[in-house]
Amino acid sequence: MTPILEVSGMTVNYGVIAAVRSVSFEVRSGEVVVLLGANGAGKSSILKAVSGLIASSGTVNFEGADIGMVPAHERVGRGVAHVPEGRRIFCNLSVKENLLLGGWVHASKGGVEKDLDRVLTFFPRLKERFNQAGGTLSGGEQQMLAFGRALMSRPKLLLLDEPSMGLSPKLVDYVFSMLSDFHKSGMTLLIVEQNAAMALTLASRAYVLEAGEIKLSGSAAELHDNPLVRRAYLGE
Amino acid sequence: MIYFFQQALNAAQLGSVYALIALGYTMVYGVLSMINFAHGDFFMVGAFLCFVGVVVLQLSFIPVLLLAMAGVTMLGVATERVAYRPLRNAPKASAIITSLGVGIFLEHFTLGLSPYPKYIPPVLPSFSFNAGGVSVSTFQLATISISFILMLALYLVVNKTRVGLAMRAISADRGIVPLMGVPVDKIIALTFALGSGLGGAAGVMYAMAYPVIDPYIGIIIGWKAFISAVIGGIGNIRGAVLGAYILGTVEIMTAAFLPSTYRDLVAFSLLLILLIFRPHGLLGRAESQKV
Repeated sequence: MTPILEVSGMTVNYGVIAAVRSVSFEVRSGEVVVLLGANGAGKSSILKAVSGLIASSGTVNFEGADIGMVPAHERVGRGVAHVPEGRRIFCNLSVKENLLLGGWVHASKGGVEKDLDRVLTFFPRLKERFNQAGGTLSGGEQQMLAFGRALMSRPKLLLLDEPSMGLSPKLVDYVFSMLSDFHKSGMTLLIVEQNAAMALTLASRAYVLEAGEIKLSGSAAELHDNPLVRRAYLGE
Repeated sequence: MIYFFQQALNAAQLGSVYALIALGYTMVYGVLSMINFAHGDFFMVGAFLCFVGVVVLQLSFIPVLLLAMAGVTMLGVATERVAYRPLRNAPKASAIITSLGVGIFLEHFTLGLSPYPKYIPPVLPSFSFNAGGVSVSTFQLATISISFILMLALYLVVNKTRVGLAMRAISADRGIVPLMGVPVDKIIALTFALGSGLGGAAGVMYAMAYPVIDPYIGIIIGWKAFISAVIGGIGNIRGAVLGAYILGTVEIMTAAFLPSTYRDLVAFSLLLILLIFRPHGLLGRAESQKV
């Protein structure tokens, strides 16, 4: 299958510190790819560089076009959606307003009502809370809102930064079942996740990062059985 | 009692001018967390454009108002583009100091063009009518009603439109707004446009009430409007309006019932006392430190 995302030689610097050092990887259309690694390994930086929140050198090819110089807000229009770490919903805006912001790129061309319907069917809870301020939602509901907001842009590639962070085990299961649904509906997922065991059950392939470099890569099954991965990320 | 109502009307007039200017401070702070100290001078440019409209071009009131608003809007957008945007990721002090510099530049640029104070003849037929003993002038009526219309329009833009939604989102969490597909630079430019336009309108209102203008009128009026925004809670739009009318009332009532030289003393004391008890202003919220 052709890669929907092809990153080569990506380097991200924060001042004099290199958070990501010449990283190359690809995500094929319809795949679920997970990035594993300790805190500070550069996983979040890679997602931010793909969505354009931070600058990087190297190339980022999305659907065959180099989007490295495309501003972040235009990448959304091309089909890249990024659910940031910690959900970052707009607490003082209503659920409706959060979702409408997510649909910004399609609002002028119409069809937002349809997108809203689709998202609210997917997350009926958000319908109940439609006019409530985002900040009054529970953690699980906020995660739904963060997903829903991203879905409003009709993404082809969904970047997810720690989607299960801070959630109860029951909600973690729920989040992964949703991610699986997103995948089945045709979206390509690139996930950064601490919960490596769960992530590897969902993923087709994975990359292991250490100090800003890719140390290992392979199919999810291979990595799941790799003794290094088992010791470092699966708690054995 | 009639004296009191007369002063209340004066307070509403002064408060309206402060409110229009305070909105510009608070909106820019909302989206950029930056105080645009040149904003008082934007207001001054509005007053001078009023002079240009009335005396040079001999326009009538509404065209003068539109000229001042359009001119100051362009000034605000250009200033943001040239002076502030390049410093978006620089330490906050850089942009604030730059805004002080822009203000001094505007004052002296205007001084260069107009070395002597200018007198602006009445642009509206100037007469007063008697409402139950209270004398209401056409200027007062125009100032209060037009400010009300402009503030209502701003309220609708901020709360009922897509652009307003984007402004509120930027004010809440600018860092992730690009991920929504929102062109942040464009929205910030629009915020400057709206805030500056209101400042331009305030310049016309002020020049109608105090028709002798010089390039330094923006300094003290700008500070007063800034204080209004701080009293209400900087970044909060309703707060800016509330603070402006409070400050206008305090100033007018001080001058009416105490020696008028106490006016600024009382106004600034009010600010200091308020900030001790409500450091975030009346309607402001404590900002949590973002990482």
